[in-house]
Amino acid sequence: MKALLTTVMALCLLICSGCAGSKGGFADFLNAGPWWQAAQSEDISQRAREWESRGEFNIALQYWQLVSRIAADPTEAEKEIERLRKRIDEAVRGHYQKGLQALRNKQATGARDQFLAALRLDPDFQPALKQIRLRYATFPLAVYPASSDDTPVSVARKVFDDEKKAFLVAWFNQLSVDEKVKDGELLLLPKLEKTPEKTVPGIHPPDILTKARERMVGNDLEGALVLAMQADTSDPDVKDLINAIQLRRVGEQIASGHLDAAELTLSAVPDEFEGKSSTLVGLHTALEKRKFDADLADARDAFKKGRFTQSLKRSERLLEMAPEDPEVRRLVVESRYRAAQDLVDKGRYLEAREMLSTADAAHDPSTALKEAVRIRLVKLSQMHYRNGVKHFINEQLDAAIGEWEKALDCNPDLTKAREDITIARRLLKKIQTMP
Amino acid sequence: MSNHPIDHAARRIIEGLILVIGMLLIFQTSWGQEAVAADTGKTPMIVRVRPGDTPSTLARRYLNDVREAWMIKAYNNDEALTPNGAILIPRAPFRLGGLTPNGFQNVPVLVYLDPGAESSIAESSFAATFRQHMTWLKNNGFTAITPSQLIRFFNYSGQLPEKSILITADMQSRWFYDYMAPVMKELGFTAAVFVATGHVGDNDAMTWDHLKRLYRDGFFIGCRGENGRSLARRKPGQSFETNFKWIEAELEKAKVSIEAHLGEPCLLLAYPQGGINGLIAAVAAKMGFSAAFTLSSGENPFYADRYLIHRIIVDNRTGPEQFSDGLVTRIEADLK
Repeated sequence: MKALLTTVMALCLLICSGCAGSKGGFADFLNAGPWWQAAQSEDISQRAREWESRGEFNIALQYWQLVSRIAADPTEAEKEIERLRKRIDEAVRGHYQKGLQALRNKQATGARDQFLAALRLDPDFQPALKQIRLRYATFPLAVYPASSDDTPVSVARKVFDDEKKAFLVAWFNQLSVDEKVKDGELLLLPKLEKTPEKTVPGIHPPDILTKARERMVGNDLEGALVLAMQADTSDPDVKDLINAIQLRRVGEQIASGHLDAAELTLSAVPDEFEGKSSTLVGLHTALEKRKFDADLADARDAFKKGRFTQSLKRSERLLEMAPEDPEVRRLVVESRYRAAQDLVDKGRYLEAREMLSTADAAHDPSTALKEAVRIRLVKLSQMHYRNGVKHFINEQLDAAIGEWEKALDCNPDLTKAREDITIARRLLKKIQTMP
Repeated sequence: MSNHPIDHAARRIIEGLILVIGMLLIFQTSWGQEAVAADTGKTPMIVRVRPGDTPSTLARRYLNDVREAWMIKAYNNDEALTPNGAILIPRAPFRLGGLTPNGFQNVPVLVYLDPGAESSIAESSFAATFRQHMTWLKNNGFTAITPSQLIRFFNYSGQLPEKSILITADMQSRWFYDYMAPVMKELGFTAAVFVATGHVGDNDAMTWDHLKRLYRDGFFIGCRGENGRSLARRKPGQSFETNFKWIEAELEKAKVSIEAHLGEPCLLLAYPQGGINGLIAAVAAKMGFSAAFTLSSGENPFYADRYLIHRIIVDNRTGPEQFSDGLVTRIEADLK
């Protein structure tokens, strides 16, 4: 029997651990678990067909992919996925070819629409994206491959037909005007209005990649990125390089405290790229630290401006997050002391006592103030007690009870006040029940 | 309990059965919902709608961002949520570039200009018109996106709500701080404001304190050069090189100034007075600006040039009809 019980308990533990971490835990597992999901597959399949009938093949495909995962029998879904993939593939190729044909016929808008149609069906279809970027989106910088003996002056003469623009070549490439450029070096040049469109003849993608990598090694990440973007971005090597450059940029941005920029740069890197998750953790840590520092600065600011209650609330919240932080702890102690002092100055002794109830015993001024407040409250309680007695003698029982209650608030140890309240209430009850 | 061999065997069988059922349960758990959750691809997640759920609560629970509720609605073809019904949660953008069979997305970018000292426009009139514009946007389902969202859209890595708009202001005066920002905050909108850094703190102009507060309130601060003078206008007799050095200094000083005061890189540029040419755009790109805005109207599809973003100029003479006519969020095209 013991063995049976042990087995059952072990199973319960295993089931619970199996469900741990799911969004809704065990309840979700029972309500929306595999059986419920499998029961939805017919409904999801129907929705997938509706998406397809509207021409949204890509979304329909994603719906079918879900069905293939949740259905008890995924055979139909798998067939549909295969059929849809084939259909998408054929349509994408067709649109792309029609786009190229339209380009040959100098129908710019027609070509654009065909490339966009291909992209709509397959958002990852790089040839169409490349055509769109190349022909319909301009970028203000062009790439020029330098030859042997080139200098900024010779490049300016060749590209801008004006040697006086050598300073531009130098500025855009961090060179001096008379510096000799290495053979094969890729130079970034502005696209001036009179610059011929074709300034990048004969660049081979591997050259661009090599140069981009060299710039990356030389820590010119912006230059490396511009060069890498000129290469074939459908090439996995180029993609990897661009992502690696972006991750380096994020690292630098985090290190220099430019966290908003880091967040933006990191968003361009795909989630599955190696190193993104660890960078993301680093970014989140830095963002949390920035928030903590900003909150601490706010709390300090409130303290400096004499808003001690506000400063106390803020610093106490921070202390919950960082209980060991001596700076925060000091701010909490000082804020509490100064806020309590303010209350004392305004004669609000009860609130001051409440505030000082959690004061740090090692902080001498707080301890002294706490004692001063206690003494003051004892005196106040005696005053209220005497007032109560006066009212009692004058048969004003309600007023007497009110005064004694105040006395008790000031000094809960004043037992005679509590006893007198009981007596007065009893008397009041008797009076009220008298015929 | 008896020690009879049959009892013993029965107990063993029961134990074995419980073990098998338990293992199956665990396997099902990991095979079901959590297996889908672990998938990093584009396969959506299926969830059961709880009573009281809305797209916003689902977005908060599953996408960790309440502002993504529109994605859940669009991915489920705007179907109403029914308790205990199935809803699909997308894991990745499913319409990059806003491409649909009938066209693609255009992002209108509004720009409010500083009325300036010469304007006789009363402040109350300006404030009333601005509120009218913003209320119209809110009532007509527009979402005010951030410049970062726009850049992701241009990078073809982010999807935007169908009716997205970017609000910008090339303004120096406190009107932005006093009238425009509070209205936008009230309606849940954000905006980018571009300042000429050399005039921050001038008479009736916003100070760095104002800009810092705006930045902390979720507004974006960009630059319009140091002096706000058009960079495309060369002084008579000035050499090309001297002019270039002036352009560089105008942008560099403005960028450095904003970065020093806000502690973040200045990534946004509005060409002062809309003055633009190829050289200025190239300098902006080389100096590390992520996007630059013109004052010319035009379309902003996902493949637009980030250094030539078109904007629609609006002011308090822009009536409701004129205002709404300019806000084209879709470009019709046959993409079937």
